[in-house]
Amino acid sequence: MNFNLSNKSKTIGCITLKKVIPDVFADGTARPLHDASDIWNRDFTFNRGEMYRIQAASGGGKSSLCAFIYGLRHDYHGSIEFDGEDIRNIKSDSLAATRTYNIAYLPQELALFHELTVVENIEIKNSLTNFKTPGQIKDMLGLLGLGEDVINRNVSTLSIGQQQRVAIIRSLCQPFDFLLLDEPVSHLDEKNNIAASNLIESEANSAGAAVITTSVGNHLLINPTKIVRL
Amino acid sequence: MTRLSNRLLSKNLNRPRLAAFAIADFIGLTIVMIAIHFYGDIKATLHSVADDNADYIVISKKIGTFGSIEREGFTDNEIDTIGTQSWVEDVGRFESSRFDVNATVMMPGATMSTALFFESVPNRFLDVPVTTFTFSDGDTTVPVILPKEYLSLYNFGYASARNLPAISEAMLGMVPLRLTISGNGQTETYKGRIAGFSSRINTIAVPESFIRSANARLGNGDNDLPSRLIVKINPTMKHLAASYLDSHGLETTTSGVLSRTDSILSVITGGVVVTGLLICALSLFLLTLSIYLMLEKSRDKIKLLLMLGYTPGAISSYYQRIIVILNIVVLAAAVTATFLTDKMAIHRDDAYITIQHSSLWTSVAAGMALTAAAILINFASIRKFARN
Repeated sequence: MNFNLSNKSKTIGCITLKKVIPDVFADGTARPLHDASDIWNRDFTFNRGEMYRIQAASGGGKSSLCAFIYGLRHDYHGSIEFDGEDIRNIKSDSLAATRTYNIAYLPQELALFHELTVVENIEIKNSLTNFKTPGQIKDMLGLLGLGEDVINRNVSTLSIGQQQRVAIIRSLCQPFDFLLLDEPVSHLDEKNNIAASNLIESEANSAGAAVITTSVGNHLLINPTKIVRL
Repeated sequence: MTRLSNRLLSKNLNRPRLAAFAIADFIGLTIVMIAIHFYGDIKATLHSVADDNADYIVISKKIGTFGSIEREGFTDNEIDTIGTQSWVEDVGRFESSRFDVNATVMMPGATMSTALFFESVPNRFLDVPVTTFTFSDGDTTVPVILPKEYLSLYNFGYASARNLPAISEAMLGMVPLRLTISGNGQTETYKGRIAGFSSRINTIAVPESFIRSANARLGNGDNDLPSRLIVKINPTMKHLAASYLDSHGLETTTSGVLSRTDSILSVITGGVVVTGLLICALSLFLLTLSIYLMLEKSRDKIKLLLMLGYTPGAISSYYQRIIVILNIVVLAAAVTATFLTDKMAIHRDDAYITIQHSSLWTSVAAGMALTAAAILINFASIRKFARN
């Protein structure tokens, strides 16, 4: 295995956004939904240990913000810093280590491998750090209602709600300081939302991590310490 | 990389295309290696023939435009000066017969007779066994060395044109030869024995002692300065020889035939090597292209793996392993093919030429270098892709 183990002991305490604004807003191609955004074109800091809910209607740039923070996209003005280090300057190997040890991410489109089974989709993430034992993974799957009959099926055969639960569990199978969840419960019913929220909250608490979650309507049922408007 | 991620990426491997690369690369690599090895073999063979002779030249003074009435020979001083040149290792004089020579070949039912002349050089300059090439006063047999070219001229020119049988060296050695030498009113008769054929000395040579004693008895007492010298040159200083000869009005009869053969051979093998290299380059292009297409096909998977925290290096390593394994298997196959071809060539030795076998290492090293180049080029392109 080739990834950088140097980040294993390093934690990220804060993620700071400095005058970040998507290029599309900056060049006038699109307009932000609010003039009074807490994030766009202002300085904002996410601290470890807090619960953030980012609220905006569709088109507000929630998914873009997640992708900017996770280092997937750089089409913005301003800068994003992990403990003062501009993520644009982070080398690809270090970025991979950050994704392995510091920031867990659940993208809105779930990003599952459709040719792999439920267990394999989780294992492909967990095998990077062996953060969870197979037993713990099975327990988490059980908590979110994914039983033996489901876990060895290809995810392409699952409903979107089931896929979303698989993706939630996968995001928890790594050490993290920040858990970045882009509309994590948009396809879940209330019962599963409660189960998922409890699981996420307990994992984040035991890691002392921050949860940054976005939502258009169906919120993650965790009491946010901060609600951020886009 | 984990077993799972390998399995994911392996689904987009295009095996037929990789096989096409392997075959093309095998052909190219084998051609290059065999050509290089063949060149080494032929060079070694030529040199085994040429080595002994390439370092000897025969020099004489240029004959002026109007010709010189008097034979111009080398004085002792001149010979000493030549002997001290850095490119000269040894100098020997040609001594000529200054008496009449008549040779008669006696065969059943036919007697052929011809006027000849003899020359001699010190025995150390001969390329035939010299133990029997001696003459002492009172001997009735004179050993004679003939130029190899005479025999070739007869065999490949005269005999084949007239439909006569070719004569081997051994056969000619058995022909009874009677030598009649005369001068100063005396005549002496000897039996001639062909002691060998020389490709170095282009004259009819007899032992030095015979020429000297016969010249003393039968010679006309003319100028006895040698008109030709045989020079053993220092191979590392060869380049100095030509300019020295030029500036001193000397010429050599030994043309650079062998080095010309060498350069013709270089051009031919060069052409073959270039063809092989071209095939290698095309196969490398094919490999790079198919790896690139596989990467493109796996682009979404690679993006997801990177998103999950896999490093570009870890993902590259999967493709790099394929490239290394593929190239090494091809190299091993090409080395085996070259080795087998070499083995087959050993059995094709025939009576006319003995092929000297050069080491296979040069061609194996060339194959390894090409393989390393192929691996490195692909590594670079994969890393570039993964980083982007």
